[in-house]
Amino acid sequence: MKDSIQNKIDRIKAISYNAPSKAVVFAATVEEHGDKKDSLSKVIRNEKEAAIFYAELKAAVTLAKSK
Amino acid sequence: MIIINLDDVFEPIAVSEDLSQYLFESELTDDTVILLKVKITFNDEPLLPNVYNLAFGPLVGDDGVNDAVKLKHKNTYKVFSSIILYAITYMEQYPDRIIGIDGSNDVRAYLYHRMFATNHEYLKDILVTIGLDWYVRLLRNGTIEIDKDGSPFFKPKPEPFDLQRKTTDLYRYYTIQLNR
Repeated sequence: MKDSIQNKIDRIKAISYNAPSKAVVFAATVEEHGDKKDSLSKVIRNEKEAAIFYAELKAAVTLAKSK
Repeated sequence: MIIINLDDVFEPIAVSEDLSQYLFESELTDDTVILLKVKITFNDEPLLPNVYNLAFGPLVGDDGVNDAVKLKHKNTYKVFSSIILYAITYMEQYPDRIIGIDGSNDVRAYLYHRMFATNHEYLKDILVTIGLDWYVRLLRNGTIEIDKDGSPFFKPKPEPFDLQRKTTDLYRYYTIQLNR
């Protein structure tokens, strides 16, 4: 990654550490629960399907990286 | 066409401590300035513990994001470059997490599809983009596999994002993750 882009990422992280009002602006966190299931969640019905999905995703990522 | 330039992004006004939420301003074509939020959330599926969803748009209520609204930004490139950079920032913090983009919303899927296709060369060293289709098994008796409700028994099939694939043939779902 270019240094200039990494510097921007580091700057964003610094904002997160320093933002004084973040507790007010961002009341909820990623760990909150609710009906947020997406279409992928609906076609993964059990652990076996999840394992197959992850194996196929890993293979697709490996193939994508090799191109 | 949306051209991504990660060197030309909006600096966020605020960023949540866990890097899952970002606030930034964008000027619209009617000269109004709008506050936008990028929000990365767990998709609430224990079977997919590292898949997170990304939404962005104007704030709704205390914590929501209206990611269905259409806005005319003066600098659309910069808006999307910012969103992608925030997503990269998030995944750099949590390298095992994947961001999933649901293609059930055609407008949004179309936008992401074009963006990934157009910027593949630029982003390929940073991000791996995968497209997913849903498939149904053809049974030996000539029928298709169905679930207990009688609906087709869909299964996801991931593949490397096909650059030749037209926007008239969108994927059902997209994932992005860091190229490590």
